[in-house]
Amino acid sequence: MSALHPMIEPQASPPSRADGAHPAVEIRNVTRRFGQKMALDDVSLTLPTGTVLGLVGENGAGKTTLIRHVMGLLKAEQGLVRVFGLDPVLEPVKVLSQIGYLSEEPDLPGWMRVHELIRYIAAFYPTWDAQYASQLQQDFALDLSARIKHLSKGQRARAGLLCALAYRPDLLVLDEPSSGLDPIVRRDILSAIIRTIADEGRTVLFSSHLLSEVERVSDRIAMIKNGRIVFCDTTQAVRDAHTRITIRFDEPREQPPVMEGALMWEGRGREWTAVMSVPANEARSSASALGAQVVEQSALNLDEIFLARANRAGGQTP
Amino acid sequence: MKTINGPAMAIGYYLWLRTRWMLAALFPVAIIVPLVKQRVVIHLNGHEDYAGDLTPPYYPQIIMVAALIATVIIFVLLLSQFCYAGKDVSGRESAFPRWMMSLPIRSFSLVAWPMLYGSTVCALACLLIFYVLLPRQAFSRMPYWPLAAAAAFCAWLQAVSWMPFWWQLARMIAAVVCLIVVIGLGVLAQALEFQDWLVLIGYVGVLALALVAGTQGVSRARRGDGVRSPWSNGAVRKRIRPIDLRLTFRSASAALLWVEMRRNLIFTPFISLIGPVLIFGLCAFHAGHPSTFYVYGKMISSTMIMASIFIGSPLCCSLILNGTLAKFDTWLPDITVPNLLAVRPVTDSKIVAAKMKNVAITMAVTWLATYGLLILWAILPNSYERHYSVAGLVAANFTMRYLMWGLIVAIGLPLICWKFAVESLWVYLYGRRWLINLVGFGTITIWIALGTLAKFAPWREIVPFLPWLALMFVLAKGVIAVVIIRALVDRRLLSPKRLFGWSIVWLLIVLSLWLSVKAVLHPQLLGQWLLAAAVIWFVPANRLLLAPLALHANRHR
Repeated sequence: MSALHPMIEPQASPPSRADGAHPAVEIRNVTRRFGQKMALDDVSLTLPTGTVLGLVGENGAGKTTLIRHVMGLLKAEQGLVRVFGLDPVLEPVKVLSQIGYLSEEPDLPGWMRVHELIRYIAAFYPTWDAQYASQLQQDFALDLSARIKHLSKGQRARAGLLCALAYRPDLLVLDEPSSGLDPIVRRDILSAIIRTIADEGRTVLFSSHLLSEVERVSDRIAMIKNGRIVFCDTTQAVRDAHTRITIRFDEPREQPPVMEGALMWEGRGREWTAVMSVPANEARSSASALGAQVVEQSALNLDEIFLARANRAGGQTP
Repeated sequence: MKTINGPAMAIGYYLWLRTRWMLAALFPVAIIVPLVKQRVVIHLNGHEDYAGDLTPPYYPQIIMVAALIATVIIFVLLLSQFCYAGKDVSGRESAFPRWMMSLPIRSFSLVAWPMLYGSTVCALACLLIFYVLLPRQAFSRMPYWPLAAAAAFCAWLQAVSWMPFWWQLARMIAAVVCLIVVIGLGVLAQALEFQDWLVLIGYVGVLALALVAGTQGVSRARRGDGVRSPWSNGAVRKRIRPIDLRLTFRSASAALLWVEMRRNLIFTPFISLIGPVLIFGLCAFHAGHPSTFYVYGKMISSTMIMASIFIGSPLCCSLILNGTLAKFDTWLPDITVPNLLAVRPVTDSKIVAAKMKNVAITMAVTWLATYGLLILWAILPNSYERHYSVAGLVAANFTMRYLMWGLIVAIGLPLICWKFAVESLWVYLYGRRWLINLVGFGTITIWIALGTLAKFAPWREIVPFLPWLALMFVLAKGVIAVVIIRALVDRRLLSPKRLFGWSIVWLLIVLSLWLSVKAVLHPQLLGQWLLAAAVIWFVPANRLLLAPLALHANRHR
């Protein structure tokens, strides 16, 4: 590597370059098809700067497609995608210099050694912080002389994470980064998100199947299903907007009752339990209107909301 | 749902799924070509055989050559499928699919069945080439050994693909050695006039050895052995010098070029030098080679043939392999932009510029090696007419004029190869298989069609219109350039300032080339306007401009 020369180290943890005038990500009415399959169907989403948005959804729901639109790797057939007010397809250099990206399969070249990878990536970012990179390398216990193909899946994810963080991006995009990884690597990824949040004004967009993680670090949660956003709100608001209610009828019933906002029914005879996408008081009123007695009512965690939403056919917003 | 019983059926079904379209493409060749032979060739020639030499009428040769090219391409694709190709060719790991390694079957069964199917199909494809497509008079006696050689070569290629190697380039070298040994056995047996049955027995032995080697290779791959050097003894090499992460590349362009050179530099020299190295070896160690060869009714000097192979091999490679250099890793089958690069803040033009620089370096390396080999061959005492050296001949007839022409050719050849290669980058940079196939087969079809048209064209009537035709071509090039430049500006891939700069450079190149050729060329040979049109047509522009546009479409799908 003869073309190497010492680089000027930038200040540790510089302030965010995002001006704050534009949201970090703005997606408006984006539609995308792959052949017959509608991957994204009129999706709109806004991610203000400084927030952490967790994107949840089943496999094939459209999470990766949405993220690839944000990265400019896919072009919107209809609609508009803006990252810090810029079009990621027309201005990839300005946009990508502000984004740190890590996907489930980091797609790192197996023939490269870890130190070669770090130097290669560093060449693209004027804001690369060599000291921070060194610190992350030590934290992650990465062997610099090892070839990437000889690293374990967890070590590869750590190498990818180092490359996504060392230039202190304004927007961190993580596409199911912890999928198939052990708890220690998952902890590393979560700490990275938390560290990024701690740096003022930085934004995180991450998709995951592990809802406990999403719940732990996200300010906002968006659920995507069949290419449509089912809900997008703060974690607390999402929890408040869903409830589980158990009701009892005087007479046994063959079919579950029809109640507005019911996502999933369980039970038989006189007693039925529903997961509902309405606040607790509305659910109680609906039950009373049917002449049923409320036996039990409880809050739901994200896992339960996700399961109920995923089980429901279609992807229309309630 | 019907189930498949036994590994033979299951492996057969899997291979059928992988090869069915190629096998289907062979059927028309097997059915249509003999029909064409019957109807067209006999009608035109009065007998079944078509002339091997270039005597009129030409169309039987054109039809048969087109069919032959198509069959050879299908044959190569079939070979790659039977080897389960798709992994890193330069990698150390076995190319045998991992999911098959975990099947509850012995390694022998895993290897024997695909080898049997592959060898049979390759022998049949070879049968088609030798007994249907090639003219009968090409051989004094129909040889049987090529069938056995094709089967043995397929088996050995499979074995080599499935073996783990501890040295990265060992697989490529082993494949070339197998090709030489397997074909060489047949040639040697012919030269020593062995009986056919003896040659066939020899090839059965070669097949059995391939089976043993393949089984051994797959067994080692299943155990995870074989990818470490036997001398490393499993110990991990540690660098003594500490690695300083503050050292980095000068720029993004330097980093891009570094990766290009690491992965795409040696591919072209490696492939293009295989033929010349073999020929050099034959000349160096076989002093009694014939001074002339009888080729399709004509006596051709062996010196001419050797020199043609030396010069022709890199030229052919730059024509055939050109677009491959646009891949982000020549040794891998992927043609899409890897995420590692796609998400970096770098313009498409910078990526294309790094590729063009790498192509220039590749061509320089290829031609330097070729010239080196050519000089070594020229000083062999038997290189000219068995008893004399080419170097001696050159020294005896040396003049400054010859030296000047020699230098022009020596510099011109790498430049022409660079032109061929960079003009084709856009095809692979677009990242769609259909375009690669369309351009590849389309080019062959166009050349064949042009050759046929050239035969029938009323040249005397066309000659007066040639300047107009040339003007039309130049105008077409200009219009296409405007369309591409508009697309580039719309996508912000080219700034007006850079466009102006490149236009000036392009015009200067055209002007200087026109003046140079005009000074050298006899004025009666080509009118200066026609020459100017030819130069404008020759100097690359549109296909170069297409490269960043194609990459943009690949990177932002």
